[in-house]
Amino acid sequence: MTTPDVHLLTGAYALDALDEFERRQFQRHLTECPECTQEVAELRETAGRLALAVSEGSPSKLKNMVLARITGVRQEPPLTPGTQPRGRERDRGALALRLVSVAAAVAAVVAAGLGIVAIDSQSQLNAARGALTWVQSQQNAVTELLSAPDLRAVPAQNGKASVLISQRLDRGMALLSGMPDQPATSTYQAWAIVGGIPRSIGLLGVHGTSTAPLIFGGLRGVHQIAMTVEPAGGSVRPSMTPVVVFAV
Amino acid sequence: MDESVRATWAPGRGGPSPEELLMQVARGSETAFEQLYDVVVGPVHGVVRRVVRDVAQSEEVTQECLVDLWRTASRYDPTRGSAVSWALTLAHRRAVDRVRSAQARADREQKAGAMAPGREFDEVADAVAIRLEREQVRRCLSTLTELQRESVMLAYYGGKTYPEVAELLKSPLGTIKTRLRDGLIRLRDCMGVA
Repeated sequence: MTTPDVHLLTGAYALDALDEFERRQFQRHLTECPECTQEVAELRETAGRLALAVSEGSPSKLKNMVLARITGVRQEPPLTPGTQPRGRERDRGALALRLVSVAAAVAAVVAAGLGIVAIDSQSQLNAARGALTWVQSQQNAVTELLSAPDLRAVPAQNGKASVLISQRLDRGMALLSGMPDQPATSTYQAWAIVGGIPRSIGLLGVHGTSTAPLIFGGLRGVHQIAMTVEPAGGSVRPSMTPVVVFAV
Repeated sequence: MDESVRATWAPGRGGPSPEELLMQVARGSETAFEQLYDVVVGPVHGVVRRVVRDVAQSEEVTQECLVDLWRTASRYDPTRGSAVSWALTLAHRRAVDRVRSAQARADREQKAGAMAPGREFDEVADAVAIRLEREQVRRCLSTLTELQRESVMLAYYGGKTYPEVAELLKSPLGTIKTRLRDGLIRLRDCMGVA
């Protein structure tokens, strides 16, 4: 049990009302929360009654088809202690929900990557492969950061975006969550402020990908992270006052 | 689970319980599988039909669920709940996966999703107006607040995620998350599921 908020997801989980990434996040939570596991079991049992209430006859040919099919299907071996998913995850307090939204953000990136896999030429196939590789590397970077023992959320002085950093990994992640999308002609740009001088750390929300996290490195000497709105493609120097500032 | 329900879920008085059947299935018994099939196929097909809608696709998903039941029987842990509930969890999950991947494909192909006006209202009205065959379920659902009932029914029978439910019911995310949980808890207590 990390926060009461996470615990509240038992109902949505039992009804399969979580998206894939939030679901995985919650399943991880379940491995360390026996009360939630018990509650989920009961709520699933309850949901089962809802299925029972809409019970319906099925065509008899279905039974023959299923019985014929199983003769050719190998059964999975039982889970043994060695193959049980590991349940050791550190308590992250208030960060837990943030992680859920980060997971959702990664899901959006993955979805964006997979979105172009409607392939009818070799070049499209190559583009799809490239996108998938990028998505995977991005996801690995996010996963690594999320498991850093010293991960912390940097409070914003204004605005709604989020910044999470790990000094140990010397890496951070910025998310636009809650900020309005920019039109195609402009973009958000994030800056690390070192000794009063801004250094660009990348663009966010390009082409409406407002949920994709931006991973950045090099935290030494950085005392602020700021975000500005810049012309599409970004700027060398910030051209306006920041819309949001994080004190590292 | 109370005895009356167990009796109606089991193939017949004195026969093996669904749990015993499922454990025999895990050891490779096709005979046990056939008996278990008869117990679960009605609700499995019913819930898949509710969520998936399309007749041909529903039959396909039902078939996949039942083959899954055979394939993954060894993963069933009787301490985590009844065998029927396990099968129905698997079925609902499969059905939801099917509609969500179809939805994702449709969204990609037709960017704006082309939501026809009035569709949102219809989905809510439709989910809530489901004809329920069980008096106990009907009675217990009637003890829920309107928002609890609509949320639970849209999520379960409509296969919606809770942000989608929030959107359809014009309610904050946190409220829907809470209503899904307290609605189910009230149902659980009303139905005597322990």
